[in-house]
Amino acid sequence: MFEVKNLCMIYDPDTDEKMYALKGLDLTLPDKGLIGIIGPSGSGKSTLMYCLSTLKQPTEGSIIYNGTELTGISMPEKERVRREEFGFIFQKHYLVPYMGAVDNVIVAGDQKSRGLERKAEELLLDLGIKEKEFGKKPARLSGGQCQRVAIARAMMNDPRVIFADEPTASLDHDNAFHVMDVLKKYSEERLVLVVTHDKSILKNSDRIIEMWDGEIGTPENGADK
Amino acid sequence: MIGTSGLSAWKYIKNNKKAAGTVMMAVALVFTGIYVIYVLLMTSVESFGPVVHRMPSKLAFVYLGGDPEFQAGLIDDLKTCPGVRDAYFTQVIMATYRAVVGQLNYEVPLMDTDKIPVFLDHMDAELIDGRLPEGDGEMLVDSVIMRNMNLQTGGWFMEGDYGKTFRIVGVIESPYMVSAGTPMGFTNTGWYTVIEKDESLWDFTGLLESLGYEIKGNDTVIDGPAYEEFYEDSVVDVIDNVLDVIFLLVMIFLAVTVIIAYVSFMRSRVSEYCLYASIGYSAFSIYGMLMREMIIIFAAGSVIGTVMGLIGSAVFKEFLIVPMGLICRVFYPAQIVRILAVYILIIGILQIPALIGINSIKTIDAIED
Repeated sequence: MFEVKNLCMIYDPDTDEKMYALKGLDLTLPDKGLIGIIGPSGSGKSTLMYCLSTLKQPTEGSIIYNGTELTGISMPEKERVRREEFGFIFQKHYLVPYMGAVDNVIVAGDQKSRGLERKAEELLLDLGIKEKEFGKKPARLSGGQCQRVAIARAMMNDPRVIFADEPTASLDHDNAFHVMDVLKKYSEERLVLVVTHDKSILKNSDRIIEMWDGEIGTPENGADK
Repeated sequence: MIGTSGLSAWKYIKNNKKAAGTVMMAVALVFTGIYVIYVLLMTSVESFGPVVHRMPSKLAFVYLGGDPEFQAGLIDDLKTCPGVRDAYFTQVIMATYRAVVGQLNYEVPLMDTDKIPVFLDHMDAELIDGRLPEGDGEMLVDSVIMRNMNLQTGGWFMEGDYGKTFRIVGVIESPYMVSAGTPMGFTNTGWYTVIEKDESLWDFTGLLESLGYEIKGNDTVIDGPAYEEFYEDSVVDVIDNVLDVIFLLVMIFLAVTVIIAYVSFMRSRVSEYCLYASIGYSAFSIYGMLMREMIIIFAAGSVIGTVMGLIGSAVFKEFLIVPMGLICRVFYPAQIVRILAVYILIIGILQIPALIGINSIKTIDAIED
């Protein structure tokens, strides 16, 4: 699904001391499966995810997604890909504070299609949100419930790829594993990329990519799993 | 959903009824306030209009100085003019017709008792209460002026100016809103040649000049053009200017307040806009949602404001204006359009903070960096 070649991301490229967030990364990702990207802070894992999801434009290199060079497409086309083909789970849930759970999920759906509300409700039920909580605003939901609403939102448009940046960062262990189970299930049909510090939540992943200093691999093995 | 860009404007309004309702009501109340002030001030224009346009069609007052012989000659000359029914030199007192803002002073002729029924007939006036003057210092006053000045039959007319001199003995109704009375040896008033005439004569300055009289600086000709000039310069223009100033100040205040509130409103929703941008909504979609929210709030506020303005004006008319003997219109479509135009202008001005805000929206990756 993704074919990444020589991906570089340089912050402050005009200065003498260039700061590489990504250093010539080569990577191939399948159409489905749960892929974990781990590494310490500053290793470039989030930057890689944001480049793959078109949120960041890499300094160099190529990202081919289903035959399309993502680095060369226009902004409207990037927006279309993000809206129609990608789903996002951010570190913070970024729920809209004045909307109830269902409306927060619907935000990511194709607004022209019918049955949005029913689909949002089904997703929330699958994620363990009870019916009585459908209308509750984020301030009245727990952290775990908010994150589950955010996951439902990421799944709302049936994306081919879900990008999850530290999806369990604000959750306790039980909630964290529940969320990972949901993502694992989704990954049976689609691709799920999970960026995390916490290797323990990736126990059911199909592949773990370790990153260090903008490169794939660790100082010890220099390679991914 | 509104539109096809995907982001619904209703969701914010539906889920923030209190905040959206407050803005809507603020828009509505400003609308209502401006409209009702306009209606109240326009009562001066509406009420004085009939007096200044109708009375001079039947009555004119001329003073050119000169001795009694000159006055007699003038009267003889005037009586030869087609359209002049009668002319006589007599005492004239001033009466006041008060509106919500400003007042109109107009002439009330004093005449012998035997002239009064003829005068009433000429002015199409009908005695509706009391009796005709039978002695000195007795007045017949128009029913509108009675209400306007809060007068009673048996009371004193223009007591503040003339003391207990002219007692009201009857109430009349006339399309020309006239009053009349008999003299009381009180001479501290104007003296004029009063001309009873028909509608064909309007400009007496021109008429007098055609008769060979020279109008000098101290001379007074109170005819149609004089009333019209007074009405335009001292009533319509003054009220228009006052309204323009009020309108401008309120709208500047509203525009500044709305812009400050709107910037704060946009800042409070930065995370929301960043989310939309991150999950693939274009800046144009987000801007469209903002505009639709704004238009819904202003449109609803304007509709509510129009209804409240019309109801408020009708209430003022019924309980304040009519009892004062004033004329009031409730519906001024041009004023409604004017306020709407200013609201559209304010929405236009709000494009500046909206566009600046939209162009500075970042995606969530930038926030988390």
